[in-house]
Amino acid sequence: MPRASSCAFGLVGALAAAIAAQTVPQPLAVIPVDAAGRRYEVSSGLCAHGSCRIVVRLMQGGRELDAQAIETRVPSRAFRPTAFKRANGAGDPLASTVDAQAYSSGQEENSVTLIVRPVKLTRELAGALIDLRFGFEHVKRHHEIFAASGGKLRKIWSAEEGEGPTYSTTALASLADGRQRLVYFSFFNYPDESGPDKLRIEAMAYDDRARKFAPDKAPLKGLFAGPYASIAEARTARMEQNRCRIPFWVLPASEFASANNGFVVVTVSASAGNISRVAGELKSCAAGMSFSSYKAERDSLIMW
Amino acid sequence: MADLTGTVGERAANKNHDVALVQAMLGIVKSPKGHRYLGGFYDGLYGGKTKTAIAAFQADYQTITIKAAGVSQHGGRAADSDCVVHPGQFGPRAMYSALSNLDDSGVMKPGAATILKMNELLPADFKDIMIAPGTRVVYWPDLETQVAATAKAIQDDGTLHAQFRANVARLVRRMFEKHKLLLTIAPSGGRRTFQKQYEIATTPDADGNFATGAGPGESNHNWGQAVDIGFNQFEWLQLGGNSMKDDWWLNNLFKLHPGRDMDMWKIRNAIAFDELNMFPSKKPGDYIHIQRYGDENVSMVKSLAAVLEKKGKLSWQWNHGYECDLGFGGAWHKVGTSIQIWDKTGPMDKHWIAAGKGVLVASIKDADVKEMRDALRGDFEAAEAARDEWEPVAM
Repeated sequence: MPRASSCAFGLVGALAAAIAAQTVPQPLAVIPVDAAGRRYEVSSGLCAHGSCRIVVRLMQGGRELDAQAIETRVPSRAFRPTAFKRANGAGDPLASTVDAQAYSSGQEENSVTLIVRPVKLTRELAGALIDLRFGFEHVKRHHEIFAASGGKLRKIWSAEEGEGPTYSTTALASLADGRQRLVYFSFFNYPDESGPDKLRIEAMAYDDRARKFAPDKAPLKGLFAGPYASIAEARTARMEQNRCRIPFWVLPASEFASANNGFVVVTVSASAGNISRVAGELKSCAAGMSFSSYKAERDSLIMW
Repeated sequence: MADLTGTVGERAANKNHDVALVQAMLGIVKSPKGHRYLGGFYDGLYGGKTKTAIAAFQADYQTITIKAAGVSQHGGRAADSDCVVHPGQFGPRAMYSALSNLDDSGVMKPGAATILKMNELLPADFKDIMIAPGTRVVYWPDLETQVAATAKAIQDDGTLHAQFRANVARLVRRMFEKHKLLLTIAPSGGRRTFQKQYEIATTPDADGNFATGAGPGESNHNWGQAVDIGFNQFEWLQLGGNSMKDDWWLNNLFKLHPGRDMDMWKIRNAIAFDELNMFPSKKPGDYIHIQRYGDENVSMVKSLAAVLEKKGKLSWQWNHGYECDLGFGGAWHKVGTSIQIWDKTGPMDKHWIAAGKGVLVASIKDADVKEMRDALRGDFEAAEAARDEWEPVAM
């Protein structure tokens, strides 16, 4: 199961001292915080016993105001730019790119991919959204958002994947008031025909007064084929369009089709543009299949 | 009957699993007036609510001794102030006490009156509940008939490494002997063919690396050296009597009570790793996975390249990617990921083939490219056929 939580202040004094004692490498990402010139710097540092931690620093000018380390460890400070991949867990499930550079480090089980994006929490304040993908035999993702609060750095949201064949990703969408909405997608690819896949979508926006994310209705969109009478039939249909390179899930039909029974093959998104593009692609790469549209306005969709 | 392994109560041992069992039972059994003694979830920690609930139960069901307090059943002074009487009764209680092993007030002993009475009051559907030492999850035992069949199926599974499958079968049997729990291999969690690995790696879409980064030949499941073995259909108790069935990964337990899932993995691991000398994956958090060898410094991609080099018709090596000489004995070419090689979509430049053959590139046809891709795939198939010859290669 995915796990998401808001987190309280978490700086450990000893950590800050340890960070300060080591040479700070060039940041992988620099994100402006506010009009006062503060910024977040994300870098790989604080290495010990053959592993390093990714550190988020709140900076003003040349001065470090605060710092926090991400729990996931990386094998070295050496990160290299790497190509966008949906499996990284940064962006809409149907995105073909994301507006941030991905970096990777390590090999096989030690491999880590990191993407850092700004997220507009309020009109005046940005946070730093960090998406991490790690592992080899079993790949997992971890997502965190840090925000400046006074002179301190707070982790205001995080989510990690549970056990099994999971996948999760974070999408950002602009709101009329200058904020950005966060949509967290979490999936479970059930490994046999005894159960459908699982889906969890949570849409939220930052509440400045409560200083945490709160549910926020988002337009959710999807394309589905079916319903099929059985999970097996739906999985077969999914395999038929595998070459389209579009992520599809086998889910109960009840949410998507008018039918109460059966299963659909569905892809979901928080972006009308992505759905439109994918619909066009499907016409050529899955010409033999018929897809229907799904639209909903909600703060969560949980089929877990 | 569920019993304690130590005392529970004031100044008692209060082992987590004993406290959890008592708390769970106090959330099921009812008082003479029909109310339950505990609400919320059982946590294995002895505190004020548990103390009060035990005291209330003991008072309601008279499972404790009381000091005679100097008063005999006839109202006169007792000859011995330690003489035991049964509360609320002034019959032959000394005899009753000796036979029923009454507890002291606020304390529950193994096999004594309070735990016996709790068991007696459990509804029929809960008579079998139990808890494993070191855990904080009360559960229903699995059926022994399923255990024998499961262990035999693993023992007989010739696709798994011989010694390894014997150990996995032992694990299944030992887990039931010790904890009455059935472990089963998750779907796709046993030996996977290269084709199955390809399908897993490319679902939900062909780009791959969603749930696994390992393509065909890159997972130790492909070589029969690993299993994902977990707790599917594990039925555990929520306070108040609701049962919850879980999946192989204990996702429900993780979701509702993070940390308790680890209790269950630990009792499996105590057998798998400590008794039977199998190994976890080096990846933290990959709890379900068990393998034949320690992989602290093992490279799966280099290990695959080594088998390809050994059993393939072409020459292979790993150099930040799969490299092949295309059978010409000259230059190395990066021929793509294992997913690409398997589905024949990897890089294949006509210049490479022309140079190898010593001909003009214009003479190389699409059919030649296809033939070369077929040859690469053919070497993968040869490697898979020789899976017993796979050996771990260092990073």
